[in-house]
Amino acid sequence: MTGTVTLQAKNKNRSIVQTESTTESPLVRWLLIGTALVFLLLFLILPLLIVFREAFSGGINLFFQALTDPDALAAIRLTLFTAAIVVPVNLVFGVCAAWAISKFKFKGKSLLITLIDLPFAVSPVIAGLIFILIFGSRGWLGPWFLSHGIQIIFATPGIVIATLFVTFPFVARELIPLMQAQGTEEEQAARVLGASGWQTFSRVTLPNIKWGLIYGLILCNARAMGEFGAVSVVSGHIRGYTNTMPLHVEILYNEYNFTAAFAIASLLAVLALVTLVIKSVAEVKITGDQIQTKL
Amino acid sequence: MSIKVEHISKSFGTFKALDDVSLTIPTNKLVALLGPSGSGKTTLLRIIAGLELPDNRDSAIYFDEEDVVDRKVTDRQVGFVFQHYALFRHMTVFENIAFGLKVQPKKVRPSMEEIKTRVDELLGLIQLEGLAGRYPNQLSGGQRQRVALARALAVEPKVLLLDEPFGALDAKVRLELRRWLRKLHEEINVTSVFVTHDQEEALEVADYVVVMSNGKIEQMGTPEDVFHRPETEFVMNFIGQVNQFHGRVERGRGVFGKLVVEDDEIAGAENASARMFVRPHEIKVTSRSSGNHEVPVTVLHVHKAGPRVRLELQDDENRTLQVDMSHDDFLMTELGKNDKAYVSVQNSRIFISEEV
Repeated sequence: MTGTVTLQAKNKNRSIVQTESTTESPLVRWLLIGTALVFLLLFLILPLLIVFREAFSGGINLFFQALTDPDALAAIRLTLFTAAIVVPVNLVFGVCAAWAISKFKFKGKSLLITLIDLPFAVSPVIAGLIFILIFGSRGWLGPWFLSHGIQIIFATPGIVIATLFVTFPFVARELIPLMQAQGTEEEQAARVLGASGWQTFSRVTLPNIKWGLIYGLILCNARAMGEFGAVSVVSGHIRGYTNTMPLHVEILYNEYNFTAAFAIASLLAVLALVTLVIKSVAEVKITGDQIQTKL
Repeated sequence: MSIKVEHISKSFGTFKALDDVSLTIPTNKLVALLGPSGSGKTTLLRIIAGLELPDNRDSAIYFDEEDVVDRKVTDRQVGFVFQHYALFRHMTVFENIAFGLKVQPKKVRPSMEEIKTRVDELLGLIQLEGLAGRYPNQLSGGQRQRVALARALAVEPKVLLLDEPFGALDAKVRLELRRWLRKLHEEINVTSVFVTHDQEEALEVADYVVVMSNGKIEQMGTPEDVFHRPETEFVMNFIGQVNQFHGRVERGRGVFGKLVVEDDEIAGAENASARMFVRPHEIKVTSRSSGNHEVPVTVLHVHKAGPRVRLELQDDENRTLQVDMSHDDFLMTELGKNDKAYVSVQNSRIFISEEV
């Protein structure tokens, strides 16, 4: 009995000694934490507060007036419409790409991984210009589409395509490391037990990657709704027709209509906050999944 | 159900994993595929399961009389147990075991009550009755492996295939589990094949041992056969400890330096180079010379910790010999470290090289 107690006491002392020897002095610690906090306050929290303060500076009525303005409603509708197409497409593409890369061996695999990262590397403005060169009225495929009555650039299809381009790495990037860590043994086990391809995917693979997928989709959605550069190039800024929410904010701001600009901006900020919450929940769950993988 | 594989070859890139392998596994026997890593044993097991396909067209895999080589893994009705369990991590023990039943087509799928009865039965078989609601990460390694086994058995497979089933477990659990597997096999009577690199495991558990190396089968036989009557040098070397001597056969006698052996096996052979293999217990050590065919040696080390005494000896040609004997026999020799002694070979296997 005494032996155990001494042993515990010893262990306790040792752990304290180790902590002290591996950590910094209180002054350094507070300096580091303080710097990080001040930075966060100045560059993240303060701007966010200002967005909301400005949005409500003309009172709650003016705020809702700005949001229910026909042009603003059109912008919100277009943004939601774009996201409603882009997110499901990315869901399918991301799962397919991650599946192919992590579960099969094939030639050109590393090239595919590099290509998936391309939109991260290319400036969104350039991405927009690429689509103008392809689908514009003097572009490569543009005249053909126009002659069939389909306008892509300066219209909704162009916005959707540009948004798809900038968002397509998100889901795949999130899933590839997760699926690689999990390997293929569970899928093989399911196959041996007689499960069909679809049963294997829906009952084994999908539940295992669920939180990673949600995380990827959330990031993808946030980017789809917030994308400015590429969309700005292909949109043509036609009020009520080809303005998304970020573009609408810019127009209002340039017209010195600050309250309305900030009202729309506050909507985007709320979206960002919601994304953040879901993201942190998903992150906790993914870490749990990864710990299970290691066990 | 018996398994017969014929002319199976398989390469991964330039590495030849299996080289024209043919093998018959008798009905309801427990068979071990034994070999070092890279010998092709796991590949052979995965080909039988349908998880890999053989390279060549003329290969065949028969389950009884039926050729299943073109049948997909989902239709082969085999039970497969993976080395790292491969349990479905988001499912409970119950759901894991029930999986194979639940994914069956509606026409043949048992009802929920039948599934529950079957799973409960299997939980009893693997002695994990109380743990149906646990998740795999809440189980120990040995428990996980048993769940994996129950999951494989749930669909009543015609063949049970186990890939290094105890490879990831610690020594004590391993020993327990392999005895349990032996007992289980007697109860359920399904033709079973397991892969292992642990000779002790193979010799203790299996009815037949298939020794493999470099993508080929070296020998198949009962544990006694492969241990006492090895057919090739590889089997001799791989199974059990062995002393190796290089020498020649001259006029029906084996000459290995000063060690001269007469053996019926080489009676007809004329002048050829040869290698002789002698097990540590097949060498007799005495402190006094007592006749022919003896070689003087020096005792280098004596290891007494263990069920038998192990001696390390050196002869005057600087060859090291491993010998083991019972503690009683060792006391009789009255030997100690650095003493002089004499050895004679009681039993040996001599392999003659093709003469150049």
